[in-house]
Amino acid sequence: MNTTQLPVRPDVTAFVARVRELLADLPEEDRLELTEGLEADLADQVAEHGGGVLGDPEAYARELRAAAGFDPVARRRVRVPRGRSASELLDGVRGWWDDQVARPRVAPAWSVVVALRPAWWVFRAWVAAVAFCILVPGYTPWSLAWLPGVSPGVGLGVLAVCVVGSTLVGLGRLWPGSAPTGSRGVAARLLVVGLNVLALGVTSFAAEKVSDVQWERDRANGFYDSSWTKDLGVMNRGEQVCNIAAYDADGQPLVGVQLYDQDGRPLDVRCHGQQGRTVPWMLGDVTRWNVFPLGERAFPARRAAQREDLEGAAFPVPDRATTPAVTNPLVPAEAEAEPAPTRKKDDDRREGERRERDVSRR
Amino acid sequence: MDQTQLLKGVLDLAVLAVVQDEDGYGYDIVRRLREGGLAEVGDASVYGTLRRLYAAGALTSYVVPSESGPHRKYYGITPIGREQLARQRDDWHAFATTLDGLLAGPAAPAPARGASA
Repeated sequence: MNTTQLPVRPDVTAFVARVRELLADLPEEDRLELTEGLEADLADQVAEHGGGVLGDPEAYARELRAAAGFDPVARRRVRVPRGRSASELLDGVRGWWDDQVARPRVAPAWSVVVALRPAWWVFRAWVAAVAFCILVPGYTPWSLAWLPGVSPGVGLGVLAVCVVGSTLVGLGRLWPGSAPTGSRGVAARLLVVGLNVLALGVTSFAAEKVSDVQWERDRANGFYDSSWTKDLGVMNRGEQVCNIAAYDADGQPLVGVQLYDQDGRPLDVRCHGQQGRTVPWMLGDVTRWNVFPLGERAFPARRAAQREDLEGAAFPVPDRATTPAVTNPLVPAEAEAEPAPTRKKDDDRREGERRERDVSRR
Repeated sequence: MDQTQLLKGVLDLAVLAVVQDEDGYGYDIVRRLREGGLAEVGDASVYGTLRRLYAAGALTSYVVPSESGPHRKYYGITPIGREQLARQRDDWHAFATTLDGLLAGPAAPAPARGASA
């Protein structure tokens, strides 16, 4: 047995590498079996007969494969390599994720999340049930608000099936959740991930549907126009009015303005704790809350007895002492123009008097 | 007739025959076959056949490391291989005798089957 030989020529190395490529579809063990020792054998041949014996590597590989009992040409085995790589990819992602949640700072929180898995199983079942109820043809208006579109019995039945199915998948007793983690097929793993992501995505859709139905119900019940908007009193730009500061057309503040709406109903200002916070005007011994400004108490008076005590109560200081004078085409011009000169005259007179005083002091 | 076509059915037998007395590495076996008269045998066919016989358990293999070059892979016959060799040798003789008889023409007396085995 001759175990010593010359280094392999580069053309032999290249030839063997090409043959190996053409065997790439075979299992690694078979490929190794077929090409192990091939370099040595070919190097011997080349040493005996020259480089010309190498020939066409593809024909050579065909002959080798056929003689060894394989298909002469590589069969297209696309599915298996792709499945294998997808599986490896999933393993990689899973490994990365496990590393992330195993970090000391994350692990306690992650254990809580893991403990909450059953809640997720129920939730995703509800999402699936809502999606199913919406997609079922026909719309039943007297459904449960949180299972819209079908009658309550059907809705609860669908939900029950979904919860059982989701839980069985979660517990690993039903495909695609069956088989312990790590031995599941690529399709099952992708399906589990895909369905969970889908459930997350459909959640907003389900919530929107439920909220739409709820809103319709409330509106049908007159929820928005009667029951609670009545209690708000006078509103201004979405906020309750608590007090009113009135000015006349000349911009001077007014006290004791009685206000009514277009139907003659007294304006009703009704903030939180209005009766305890403000002091009403009186018509005889009847309180009038539509006369402004309302006096404001220093301290809230919750009980009737406390309301007798007016210590510290005063009219509020408006945010401005006066406001610019305004005009209206319906108000005659002379009536508008007349007071202005008067005031001007008064001002002039007062100005004059002050000058006189100043002069007299000097 | 093209020897390559004829070889296809009997290459297993030929390979087993040349390793029954002495182990050999791939090209060594090719050389023995060629020296024995199978001048047209393709080396790739021989290497593939070695691999197939090995997978079937008829051959054993071992690698002999080399200090200055690639490893040599040696093949040796196993008991299964010897059984297969004996069986196929009988088959071959029967087949060859039958074919000889056919080629000799109907006039020739048919020799006893397997007499020469």
